[in-house]
Amino acid sequence: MTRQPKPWVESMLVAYVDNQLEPAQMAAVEEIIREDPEARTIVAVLRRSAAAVKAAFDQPLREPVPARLLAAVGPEEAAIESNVVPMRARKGRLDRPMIMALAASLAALAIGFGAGYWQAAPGGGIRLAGGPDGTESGQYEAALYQALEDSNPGTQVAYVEAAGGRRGAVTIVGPVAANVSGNCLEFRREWSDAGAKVVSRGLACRSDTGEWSVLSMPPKPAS
Amino acid sequence: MTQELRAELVGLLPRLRRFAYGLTGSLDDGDDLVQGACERALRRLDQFQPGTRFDSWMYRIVQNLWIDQRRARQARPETGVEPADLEALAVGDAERELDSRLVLGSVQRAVATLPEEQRAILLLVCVEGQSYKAAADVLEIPLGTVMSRLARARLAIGRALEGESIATASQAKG
Repeated sequence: MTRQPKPWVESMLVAYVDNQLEPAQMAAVEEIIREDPEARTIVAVLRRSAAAVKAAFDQPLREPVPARLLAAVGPEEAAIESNVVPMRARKGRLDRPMIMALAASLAALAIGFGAGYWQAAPGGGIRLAGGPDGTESGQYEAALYQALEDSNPGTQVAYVEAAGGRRGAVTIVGPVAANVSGNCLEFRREWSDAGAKVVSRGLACRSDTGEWSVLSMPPKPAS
Repeated sequence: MTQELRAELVGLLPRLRRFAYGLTGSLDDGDDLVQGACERALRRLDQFQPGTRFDSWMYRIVQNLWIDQRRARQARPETGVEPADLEALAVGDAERELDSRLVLGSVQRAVATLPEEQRAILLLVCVEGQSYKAAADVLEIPLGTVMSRLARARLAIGRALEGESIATASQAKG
């Protein structure tokens, strides 16, 4: 069976769907689509499958960036150069029961601290939210992660936020003597806000899979 | 300058993770790739040409590192799904009613079966929303090559997902 030569090639239809043709070519393809059911079908399939491909990989946009990547980029020059903590690749992820167990442990621990908030990290690394002004910077996360990885009492990691240039530091206070599963550290965070020095305390517990869950206390102005 | 680029890199991380997820087919492997690419980029920050697109430069580093890693571990097979498996997964009316995650899985498998050079172009254009010109720049190939490889990739994906309706378009050349 012989076919009429088609007035189009597939790559033209693909470029049309991607909106990458010159206006004159766009108009020409629209004309072809009106006339040719086969071209019309292909265009429809191309549109649907492109949308499906986009949706299939968008998970990284819906979750926080793992702390190890933020740490790899480095919060600031000084932190990178003094970074003696090897950042290991982490394969493990907290599973749901682990998060709940950790949440229960932390909630019990938090009674002594007063009201706080805590976050676990289903996406890996550490996750923090609801900081002093409702947003936590990647620079703070990276500094905290680095300090936790070092874990020695007195370890201090300074950071400068990319947005706004606010400076702060995370200091490891020391291990928490509590019968919670995993390895828990108390840390202190200090930063300056509109000239005033602010301090908050927090707890971070490490699960067997190597992920940190962090409990942060509401900040208090330092006297 | 360096500080600005670092800040820009932090902002690019979600997109780089998505690109690497598509290349490797796994979130963990993708993150390993992005971490390696960031380390490589920071070592070579002085090689970045001001005035050119930093995101293109980063995508290129991710892609090149991925190619390097694949060459290094030749022992590891190509992302292994047989086309026959995909045909079984072709989305017909019945399957459309199934869990949408199953569909996402079949899309990911279809992408995984593409030849390496087609997959990178498909991801840059369809997922990352880059223009053909920008994709050509990232991959350092002519625009015409982008168009022909992309067309092959797009038709292959279309066939994998909606087999029968696009069957007649199987002779895409380029």
